Amino acid sequence: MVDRRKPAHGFSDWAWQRATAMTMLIYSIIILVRFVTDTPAPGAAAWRAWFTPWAFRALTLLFLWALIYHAWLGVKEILMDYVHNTSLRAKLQMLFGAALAFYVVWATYIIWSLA
Amino acid sequence: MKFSIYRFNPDVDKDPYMQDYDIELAPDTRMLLDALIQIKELDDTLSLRRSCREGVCGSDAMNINGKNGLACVTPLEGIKQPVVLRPLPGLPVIRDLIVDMEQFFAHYNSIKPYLINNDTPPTTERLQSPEDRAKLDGLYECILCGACTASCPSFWWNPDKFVGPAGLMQAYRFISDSRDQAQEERLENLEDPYRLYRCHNIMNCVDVCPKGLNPSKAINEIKALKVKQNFK
Repeated sequence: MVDRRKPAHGFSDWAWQRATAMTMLIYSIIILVRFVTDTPAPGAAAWRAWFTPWAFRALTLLFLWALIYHAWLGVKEILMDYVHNTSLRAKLQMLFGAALAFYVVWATYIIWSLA
Repeated sequence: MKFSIYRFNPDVDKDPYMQDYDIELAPDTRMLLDALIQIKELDDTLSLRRSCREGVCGSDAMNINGKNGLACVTPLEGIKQPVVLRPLPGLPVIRDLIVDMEQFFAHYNSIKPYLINNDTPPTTERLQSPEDRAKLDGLYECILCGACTASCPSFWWNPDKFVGPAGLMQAYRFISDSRDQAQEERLENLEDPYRLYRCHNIMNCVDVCPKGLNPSKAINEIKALKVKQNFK
């Protein structure tokens, strides 16, 4: 039986990277299909209206969260590969983590203020 | 025939250097290792490992014209000259073409490369169906020469933590053995973010394996089993 008390996250990081990638792929297909079947008219107003339905905003938000979490896992992987000084790696992780956390808030704010 | 060979003797040399050799080979010389043995007859300070000279013992893995391989199974016919020979990359050099394989074998030991079965051994042997035996094909043939692991950037960057393609393929060899009872523990032993998950599938290992094996495939089979284990 897997001992869940151990702070091992090799598998969960790997699995989440793939889960977020699938989320992004599904959203990309949805947006492509909608773009073809329901092409917005040129101009900011039409594009804004295109994004306004709450379900579409929710999907877009889900995509952006998946993208940001995917980026976080990717950055962590790269730092684990190349930066072996623990103190420097921790600082870089905090830097990227703070930037990505800011993007989560910012993306949510932008998408939700479309309503 | 022209050769350019990496030389380093830590007792004498401050830095490693490349030494050129231009020798007349015996007419029936076919493989690179045969040429190296002839060079060693002329210059006995050149150090290299070799034993079986037919691709079974895995002693003479080296970097040949930029690609890891076994000197004994590398034909001289059509080889680019000068033949540039260096020790396996990413491993500490002991002298000339001889590298320290201690780390490599420590990783191999860490995956418990032996059958774990707590049942009372039968009087003759533990039987296996032909289908179960076939699952070990493409895995058991590994001779542990280290060509794959020493070609893997993930191993170069984290040699102390990443098990490497050779060790991981042997891990899968025992995970997929129907007679082994420690599959769970073996998978758990690779849970750490470094031991297995430093592999990013660049497949240098597959490219260089002198036995034509596919460590990348074995590593992905382990990852697939990790999914099953975690969602069980």
